[in-house]
Amino acid sequence: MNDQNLDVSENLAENTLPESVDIQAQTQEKPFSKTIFGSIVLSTVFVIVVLFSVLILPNFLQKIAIPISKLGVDSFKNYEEAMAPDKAILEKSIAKLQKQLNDFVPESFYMIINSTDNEFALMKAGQLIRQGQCSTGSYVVLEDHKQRKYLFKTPKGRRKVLSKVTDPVWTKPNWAFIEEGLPVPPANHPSRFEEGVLGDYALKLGDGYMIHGTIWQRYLGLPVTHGCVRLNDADLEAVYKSLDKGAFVYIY
Amino acid sequence: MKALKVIIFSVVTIAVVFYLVVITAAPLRKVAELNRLATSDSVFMNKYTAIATYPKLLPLVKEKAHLQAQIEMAESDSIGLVINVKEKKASLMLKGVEIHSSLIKELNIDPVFKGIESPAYRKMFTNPIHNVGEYSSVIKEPIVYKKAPKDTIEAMKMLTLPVAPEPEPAYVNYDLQYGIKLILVQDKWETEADLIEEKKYTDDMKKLRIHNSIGLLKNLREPSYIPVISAVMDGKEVRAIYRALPQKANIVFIF
Repeated sequence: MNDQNLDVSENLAENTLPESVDIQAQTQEKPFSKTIFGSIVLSTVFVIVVLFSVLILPNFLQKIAIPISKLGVDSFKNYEEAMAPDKAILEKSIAKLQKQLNDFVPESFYMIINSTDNEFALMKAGQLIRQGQCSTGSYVVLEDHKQRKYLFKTPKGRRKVLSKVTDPVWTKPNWAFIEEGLPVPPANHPSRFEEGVLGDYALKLGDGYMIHGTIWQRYLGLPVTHGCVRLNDADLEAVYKSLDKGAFVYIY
Repeated sequence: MKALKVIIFSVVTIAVVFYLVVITAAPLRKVAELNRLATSDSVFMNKYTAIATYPKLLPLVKEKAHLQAQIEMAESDSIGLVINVKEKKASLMLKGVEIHSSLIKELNIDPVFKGIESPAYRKMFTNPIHNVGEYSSVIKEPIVYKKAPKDTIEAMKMLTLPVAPEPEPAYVNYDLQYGIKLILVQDKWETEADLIEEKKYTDDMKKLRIHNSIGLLKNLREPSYIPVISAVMDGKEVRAIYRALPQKANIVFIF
């Protein structure tokens, strides 16, 4: 029985020992990192780690650096008592400044004109009353034969309603004749005065600029004017009735 | 061979660690630089040291600074821009009146703005900030030149029906005082012109990221980290804001 056992163990030793020695020899000769494939894999991983550290990690670290640097700034000290007088002073001055800022907004009606999108808003004390389309300056520069240039632009800024007119008559400026290829007549020539083209009302803003009506209502919403602001009949009437002389018109 | 590999590995690792330390410290250096603007100004500090140096009062200090800046803006004749970070809103202001308000769909604020202390905050934001440079895909004044007709016949031939102008791509990149950048950009890129501008925008953002990381290594002594505030909005809103603002725009931030 013992002999048999010995035989088996000998056989096992014969069969297994040489194989394990072979594997050991193989692994000693060629570890993964030393194979060509292993070197490529390890180099690639190293390059990826370096690239990640150089290109992606900094952005993350920069984002967390400041919040981390601020940790615990407030938690160590109790400022409540010490800062109470300063807090009161600050709150008082904030209330005063807020009132000062609020006072800039007119209590009465005012108008806002968006010359980029050709839209208007009628406002009162910061509240929207009416809004709609308008037409503003076309940004055309007209050059006549004497190299004089006329820019058709609605000026930006705050203006006041200087006067209000019903059934306005348009006094045609020189460019209106130049644009039509007509000779420019002298001042006060009858051909300079045209009725009905400005609608039922006009609000004068100074320097020849007006808010008025138009016979070209289908072009409302487009930049087609010579600098004035055109409205449709209903909007014009509402604006005319709301805005008093001296009311502000904000153009941007 | 093994020694060489170890040396290369060590050198690269040290270089990367050094780089990460330098880059991570860049926003902190910018914060320190901005904080120094106030502390190094003795006249300014003498005027303000009495009130609100406690960090817990910073929200009130901010509120006061914002109001003072808006009042100064209201006293000018120019149209100004208020970026309200809290409410994600961009407003055009003229003489203290809000004349246009736009929703900001996506707002990214650089962490540097969280690190600024009370004195520096007052120094920087009590007055409107101006732009010192700009890039814009929007034309400020879309001027069209026309020669006057010689006579009525030529005038008749020149008559054209007005058409709505094609909307331009909207990407505005303002360089502001204190080395701050403000970017206003549209949310949708649809037309061919849009796609060209979108590429310009993404390239600029890449350049900025590189500047704020690898680029800083060129100039270690003088930190030039650029904090960015970027606002993604409707293209129509960006165009209206850009056209309304003058060349030297007044900008107020409400943090």
